[in-house]
Amino acid sequence: MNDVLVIGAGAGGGAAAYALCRAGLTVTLLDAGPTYDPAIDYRLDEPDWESPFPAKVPSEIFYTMAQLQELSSEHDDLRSWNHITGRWNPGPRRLSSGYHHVRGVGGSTLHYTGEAHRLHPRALRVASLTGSGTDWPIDYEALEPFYAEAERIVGVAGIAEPSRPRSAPYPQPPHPPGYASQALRRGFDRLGLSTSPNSLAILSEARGTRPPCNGCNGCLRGCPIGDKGSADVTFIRQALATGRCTIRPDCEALLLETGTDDRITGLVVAEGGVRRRLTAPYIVLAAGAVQTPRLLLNSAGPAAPEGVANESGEVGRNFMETLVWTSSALHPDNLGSHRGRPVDMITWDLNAPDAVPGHAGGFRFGPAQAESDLVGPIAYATRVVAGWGADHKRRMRESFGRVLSVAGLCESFPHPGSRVDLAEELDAHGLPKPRIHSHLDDAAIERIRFMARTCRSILEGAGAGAIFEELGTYDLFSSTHVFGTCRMGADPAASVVDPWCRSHRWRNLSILDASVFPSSGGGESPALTIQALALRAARRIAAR
Amino acid sequence: MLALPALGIASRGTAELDLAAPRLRSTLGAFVDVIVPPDATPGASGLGLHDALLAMAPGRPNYPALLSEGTAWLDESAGGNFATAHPKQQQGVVEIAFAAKPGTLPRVFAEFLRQDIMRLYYANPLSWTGLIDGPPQPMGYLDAHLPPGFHP
Repeated sequence: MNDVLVIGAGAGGGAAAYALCRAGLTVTLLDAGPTYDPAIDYRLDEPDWESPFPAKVPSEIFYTMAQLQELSSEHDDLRSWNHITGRWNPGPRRLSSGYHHVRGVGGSTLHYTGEAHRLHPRALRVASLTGSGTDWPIDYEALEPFYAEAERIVGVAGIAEPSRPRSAPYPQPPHPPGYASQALRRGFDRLGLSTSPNSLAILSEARGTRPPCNGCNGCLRGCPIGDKGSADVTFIRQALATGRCTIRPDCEALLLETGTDDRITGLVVAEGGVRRRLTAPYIVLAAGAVQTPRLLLNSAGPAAPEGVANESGEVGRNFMETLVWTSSALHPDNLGSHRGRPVDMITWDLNAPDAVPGHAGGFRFGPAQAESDLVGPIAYATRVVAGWGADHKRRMRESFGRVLSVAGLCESFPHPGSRVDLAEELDAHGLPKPRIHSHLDDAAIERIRFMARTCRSILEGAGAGAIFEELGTYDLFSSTHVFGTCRMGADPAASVVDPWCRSHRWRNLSILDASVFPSSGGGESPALTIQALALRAARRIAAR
Repeated sequence: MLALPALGIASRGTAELDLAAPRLRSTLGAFVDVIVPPDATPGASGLGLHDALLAMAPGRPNYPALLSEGTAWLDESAGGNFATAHPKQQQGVVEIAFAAKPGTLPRVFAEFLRQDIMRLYYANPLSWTGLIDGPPQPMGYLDAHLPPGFHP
């Protein structure tokens, strides 16, 4: 029996396994999904490279969506559309296009763009500053050493920016903005928005066996050469190197067993078609903000009638999602915009939670050709260049490399109508699937409208032509970043875990994923914060 | 009457669902070449796209009926045989299909098939001339910060 059982091998579980092993503990790291071999499984060197991430397990079958809200004609300017195919969602209700995650060793870092963001220090005090949301029980200074450690382990390339104090420089120099981003920067300049190279978990210089990035722009399809710092090639690889980490892929956590002394006594898993019981003195749960509350709620029993760690009733509540807007247009010049790194430039000017008058919560904006999946011939032929025949072929050649996309992401606040609970639908093991409820209130819709206006203005300022496609989360639920369903806090009556991410009641249970976030931040990507929280908490677990 | 609910149209019920019919194949072959004709790169039929569409049809709800009835409409609109019609006439028929009222058979057929043909055609490396030199890896784009084609 190992010292710690870590459930979920993504950003949080991987970082926790690393830190626990380095501290001398033995760890079993299990994941419901398979392992991926970057050199074999990823397709970026194959003719069918323009396919989505080659998921071995379809993640969408492991959750359900509750019916989403009705849409209003007064917000028709926020409907997602394409000039060839029309509205993405022609119906009267908001539709789900998915909770986008990867089930497998490495988790969603396998398909992320490598953004390695520290939260804005003021974002941790969003409620105090704006009256909306919830403050974190810890401050930026408590996280800073662990941000620096995570950046060092991953190999983050970036440049210091004033709003986020640092104890050490970035371990790698920043990537130069791509030629397309240089053109897009003119649009930011016109609005008075400063830009800087984005901080990326993508090597700009060789590191050990990992080469520097060659700018293929394919991060979302899985990095075949290993320059992207996904959890499998960084934290987990180093955890394995200690000799104290055992990985069990395709091992699905089903139920936590509880004892009478406020301790978790075991974990029932399904592995190889067989149910097994695993035990360890300490349990780390890091399955993400949808599957983590699901496991806790499914594990209800006599000692925990409302679900494990749900003494406050907050498990599954406070669900926060990705709020995003993307506009795309053709630039008159050939920019080669299919090249580079997905989000190589960013503006932090509007990122503080009180930076934009009239809106609570922060925003960030940056280029988005890759995240919009507008980097290959198929995308151009089906979404960019209208028509058919010889003229279409000619315009394909004229247009390729000229797409500019810009995206905004912003704060998502908890809403009583947004939560994760248990569905009536059962999984293959006869257990309820998680069900995602999402509701956008008027303030959220207005933040999306602000992003839409800003994206359109940036494109206009950059000299782009007519917009041909817009995609937003007003009419489509589409989340990569999800948060809040087991939030941390000092008050056991209003939170699930304490400021060290340990269950208020269950003494040998910690939760180390984005479900502990009390607030989402102003559009920052969460992976680095998840990792910093995990390193910090793991240090504490090891010390105990 | 054959229903095509997944495609949002009602079938006219006049066509046989025989995907192996030589006439259907020849009409579809001519149609895919109107959508993507040959020039410096092959036309769609040169890459076998009409056969690819027929091969994937059985796995898609209502798709066999769409192909069958859509090609029947093309033949009828071209005066009997779309494949042997003059290229200008073929062009004219396809223009009518794209301009037809939304939800009607010719419009649905044209729009669905256009997207499928484009997906299949531009997935083939033989179509990439003038667009990209190959898949993004293993070479990547080390010149991403420079204008395209810039050689210092």
